[in-house]
Amino acid sequence: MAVIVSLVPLLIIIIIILWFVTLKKRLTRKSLTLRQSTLIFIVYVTILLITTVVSLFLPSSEANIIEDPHQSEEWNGGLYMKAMQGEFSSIATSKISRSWEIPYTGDVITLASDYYDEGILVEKTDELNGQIEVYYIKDWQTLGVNSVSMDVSEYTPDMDVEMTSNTLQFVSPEKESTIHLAFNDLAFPMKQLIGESQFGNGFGSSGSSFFYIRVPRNLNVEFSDYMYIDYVEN
Amino acid sequence: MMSLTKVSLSNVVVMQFRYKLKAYSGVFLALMVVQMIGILLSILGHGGTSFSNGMYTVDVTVSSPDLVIFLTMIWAFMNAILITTKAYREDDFTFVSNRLSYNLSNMAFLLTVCLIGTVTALLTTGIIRILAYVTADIDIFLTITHGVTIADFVAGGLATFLFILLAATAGYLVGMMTQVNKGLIILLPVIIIGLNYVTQSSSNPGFVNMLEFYFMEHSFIMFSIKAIVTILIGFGLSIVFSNRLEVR
Repeated sequence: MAVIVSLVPLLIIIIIILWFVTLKKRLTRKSLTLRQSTLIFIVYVTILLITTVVSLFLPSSEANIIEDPHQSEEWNGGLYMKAMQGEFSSIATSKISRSWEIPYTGDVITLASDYYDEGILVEKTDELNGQIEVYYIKDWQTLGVNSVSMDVSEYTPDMDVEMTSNTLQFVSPEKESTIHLAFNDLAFPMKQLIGESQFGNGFGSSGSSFFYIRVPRNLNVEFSDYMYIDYVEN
Repeated sequence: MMSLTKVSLSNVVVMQFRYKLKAYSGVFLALMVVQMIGILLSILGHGGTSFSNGMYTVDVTVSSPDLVIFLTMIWAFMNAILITTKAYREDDFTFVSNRLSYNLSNMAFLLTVCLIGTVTALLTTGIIRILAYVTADIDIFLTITHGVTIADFVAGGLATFLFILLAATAGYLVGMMTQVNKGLIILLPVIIIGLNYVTQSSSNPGFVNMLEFYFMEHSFIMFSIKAIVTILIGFGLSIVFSNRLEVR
């Protein structure tokens, strides 16, 4: 359905062209009168005015714009570095999106995922015995779009984990894993005058979301080479 | 037969201007069609970016009235050329007029249509937003205010008007030059492409990059001065060139 709807603008363009081609012969016989032309143009302006007003009532959400992700301490290093230095307890609970307590008595655990390519921190601790704790920390996710960089972390889904035998699997929570966001940018003369670049400022995407896993000290952790795993410095 | 009625220049200009607004009503229909195509192309070819962490993808679609404004600039450029052609020039002989009244009425006409073009181009923002919302499978529509004030919007609107008027001025000057010498139809594109080539290949800092001169100016006052001076020079040169045209 979405594909069909997305083709509507193309169809309208084709209709306009065909309309002009077929109308050309008719115009040579009798063109539009001034009254008709004026009426058509007034209808067009009216449609523009109505749609401008209607567009203000579209469901929308204010984007969380990051002024300069390279300068702000909040967007640099972030929670991952803090957790890696053994300060996991100082991380605000609001930043912990999900957590799991999984009973586990084996000697070896394997961390696995087919696609997950963000960070995983492993803390070996004496406090746990016969269970592991998994936390999913979601701090921020910047995305550079044209000249702005925005935090889209609130729209991204939380990750999930599945325990099968001796393997802890990191999985996507939903089958449909594409989040479609949209925004209407300012016209280029306005962006020019407020000092924004017309061609983007080169911000790429970067983020701070990761799994933090607490395991008993004597538990051996195995994982594939392609996974980004660090151990907590304690 | 000689007329005993004395008419002032301003009266003639106003009469010619009113006549042109009615006679060239097709200009507005052309504007409408150009902007409609711009709106639809904005929806089809919207920009955007995406991010994927392997497990999910965040896809951001961006739409803006930029393409509509660019197409309106092209429309202004083409229409300005069109009104300098012989067929349109002959219309002015309906009135007792001279070259100056002809040029002044043309400028007033271009100013008016550019103003209407600017307003409608900026108003397309709403319909682009609605169409983007309907046609794309969007989960969340984000708004970005950029901390923009009403004054910024007004300045942006005026800048848009000046950009469109600059395009019309360029078209009027090009049209008038090619009316004086038809050979310039071929020579002008060659000169412009040649200058562009020199700009791109030379590192001479003294050569002003025309696009940067207008499009990279962040100060509204400086941009206005640059644009208005260019427009005045362009129209002034057009008047000089029109005086070299053959009399009827």
